[in-house]
Amino acid sequence: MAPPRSTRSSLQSVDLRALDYLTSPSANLLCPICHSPLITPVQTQCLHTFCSACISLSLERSLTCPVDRKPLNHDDVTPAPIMIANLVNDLVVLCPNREKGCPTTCARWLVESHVREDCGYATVKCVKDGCDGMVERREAEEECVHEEVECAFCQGVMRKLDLESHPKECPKLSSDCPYCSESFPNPELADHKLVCPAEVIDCAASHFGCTYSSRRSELDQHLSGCHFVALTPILQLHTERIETLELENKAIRQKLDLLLPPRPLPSQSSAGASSDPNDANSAGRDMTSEMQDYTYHLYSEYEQLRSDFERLNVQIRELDVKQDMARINEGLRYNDEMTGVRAAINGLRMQLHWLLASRRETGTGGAGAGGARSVAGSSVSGDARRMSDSARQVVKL
Amino acid sequence: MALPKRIIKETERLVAEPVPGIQAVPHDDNLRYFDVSIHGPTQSPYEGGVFKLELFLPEDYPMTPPKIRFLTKIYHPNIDRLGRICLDVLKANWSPALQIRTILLSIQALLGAPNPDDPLANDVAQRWKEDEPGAIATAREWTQTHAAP
Amino acid sequence: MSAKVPRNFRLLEELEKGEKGQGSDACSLGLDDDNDIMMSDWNGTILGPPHSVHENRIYSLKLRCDEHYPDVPPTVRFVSRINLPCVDPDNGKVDPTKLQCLGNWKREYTMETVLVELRRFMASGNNKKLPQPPEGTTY
Repeated sequence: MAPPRSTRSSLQSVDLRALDYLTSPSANLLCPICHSPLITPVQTQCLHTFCSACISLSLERSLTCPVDRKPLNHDDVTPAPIMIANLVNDLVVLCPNREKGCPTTCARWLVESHVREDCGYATVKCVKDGCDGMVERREAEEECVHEEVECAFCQGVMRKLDLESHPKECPKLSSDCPYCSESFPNPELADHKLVCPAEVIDCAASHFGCTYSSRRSELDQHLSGCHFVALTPILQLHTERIETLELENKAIRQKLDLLLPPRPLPSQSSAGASSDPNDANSAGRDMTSEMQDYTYHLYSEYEQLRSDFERLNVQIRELDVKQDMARINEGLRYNDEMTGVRAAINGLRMQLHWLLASRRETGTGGAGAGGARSVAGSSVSGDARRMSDSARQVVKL
Repeated sequence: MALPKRIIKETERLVAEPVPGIQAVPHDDNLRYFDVSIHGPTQSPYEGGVFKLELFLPEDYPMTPPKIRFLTKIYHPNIDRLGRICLDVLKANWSPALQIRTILLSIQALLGAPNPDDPLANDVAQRWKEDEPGAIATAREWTQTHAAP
Repeated sequence: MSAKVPRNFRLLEELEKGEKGQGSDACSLGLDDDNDIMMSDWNGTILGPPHSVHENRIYSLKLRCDEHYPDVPPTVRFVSRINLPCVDPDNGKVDPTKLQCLGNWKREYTMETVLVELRRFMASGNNKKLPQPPEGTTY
C-alpha cells in the first residue's frame, strides 16, 4: 500500500504554461502568443482569443491586437466564452512531477490541487519543527530525515534521506556481477553490467524478429551475418513512418469528429456498450462524447438562431408589402389632386381668354393710328404673357 | 527559469518542418541562440548564394522581437556593413504573434525586394536609386565572392 | 539569468549604446573598423578627470574583444602615453591583475565599465598627482 502521506500542503507552484498534455490539443485552443493551450482565455474586440496574462503583457508594449494589428485597449478585452475556458480547463495534463516519478494524469484545472494536496512527489516542509529542510511528500515520515548519519561501511556522512539509496553508491560495499560472478565495488557494478562479456543478450535486431541470443563476447560474430541486422535501417524507417502516419491519422480523426455533424445517438451508445472497457479507450471516448455534447449544444444554438432569422425575414417582408401599399395609395391620392388642379387651371384659362377677347373689342373702338395699334397689340400680348405668368403663380400657390 | 515552452515548440517545428531554403539550428550551449542560413531567392541578385545569419531570442521574447544579423557580407540597401537589418517587423511592427519562421521568411522576402527608400546602408541605397543595374551587378558579384555555398 | 546574450549581440548592444550617445559623458567607444563583422577591435577615449594632472587631457585606448568575450575581459592598451601604476610603461598595456574590474571580471561588465573604472583610477589617491609624459605623445 502507499506510504502514509503527509497532510502538509506543498508550496511547490505549478507553471501551467510548462505542463505537458496527454494528447496534443487542437491548434484552435492555443494562444497565439505563448503557443500553449489558453490559460484564462480572453477575447478581443476583433474576436481573437489569448491568455489573459499574454495579452496584458503585449498591450503594455503596443496597443494593437497581435494578430491583426487593429488598435486595441485594455478595455476592449473581455473574458472569452465560458465554453472555450471549459474546453482548455478540461484538457488532460501530466503531473509536473512526472520526472520524479509521479504517474498521475488529470484535467488541467485539477493539477494545482493535486500538487498542493496530493502528489507524493511534491516537496513539502519537513515534519520536524525548526528544521528548514524540504522533503518529497511520500518520504515525509514521522521523524526528520535531514539529520545526518554515518554509513557503517565507508564512514561517509549523509542525510538520513539519502541513506536508503546509499548502498548502491557506497565504495566499501561490493557485489557480484550476476553474469560473470566477479566481484565489483557497488559504484562500478552498474557500468560493468553494461559491458560484461558473459551476459547473454539478444541480437540487436530482436525486435524485428531475430531470435538469436548469445554471450555479449560472441554476439559480434552473429551480427555480421544476421539478415535482420542488415535490414534494420529500412525496418526502422518503416516503423518511424508508420508512427508518424498514425499520429497524423489521430489528429485528422479528432478534427473530423469536431467538424462532422453528430451521428445518431442510439448507434453511438450501443457502440460504447459493446466495445471492451479499455482504460485509454474509455478516456478517449469520454473526450469525444464531451466534444459531441458541445457540438450538440452548438447545433441547437444554431437551429435557434436560424428560426429567429427566418422569423425576422418574414417580418421584414410583411413590412415591405405594407409600405408598398401605403406608397401606392398616396400616389393615387396625388394623381386625383393633380387632375383637380389641372381642371381648375383650364377653367382659369378659359376665363382669361374670354376677358382678353372682350377687352380687345372695347380697345379697337377707342384707338386711332395703326402704329399705336400695333404698339397696343404688342403691349397686350406682353400683358397676356404676364397674366399667364401670374396665372401660373396662382396654380403654384 | 527554464526555457519557455513556446521556444521549445518553435525549435522543434523548425527542425521537424523546415521552411524551404531556410535553416535554423540552436546552439547546444545556448538554446536561445541560432545559427541560420538563408538561400538567396530566385530571380534576385542573391540567387545561388547561401547567407549565414545569427539569431538570438532575448529574455522577454516573444514580447520583444528576436535579434538577427547577417554574418555573410551582402550588398543590400537595407542591410548595413555589420549585417544589421532594417525591417519594420523586427522593430516597431513586431507582434508577439509572429515567430522565428515568419521573421526569417520576411528576411528572405527582403532579399527579393530591396527597399532603397528606407535604407540602413545609405551608400548602397543611394547607388540603388541612381544606378540600379550597376547596384544589382555589384550585389550579384558580392553574392558570388562571399555567399558561395 | 536565463537568457545568456551571445558575444556578437552583446557587442552590438555596446556599439548602439555608443552610437546613440547613451554612454558616459567622459568616456566614448567606437568600432576600429566598421567593416569588421566580428567587431573585435575598438577605440576608446577617456577625458582626464578634473582636479588631477590628467585634467583637460584626452587619452585614447585600444580594446580587443576575443571570441570568448564577455566571458573573459577585453584586453586594454593605452595609445596615449600615461604614467599609471596599472599601465605597462613600455607598451601601454593595462595589467588586468592591477585593475579591479578586469581582475574580477563579471559577464555583466562592459567595455564602458572598464573605461569608467580606469578614469576613476586616474583620479584616485596618489595617481592624480603622478608626473605625466608630455601631452599628445603615444606608445
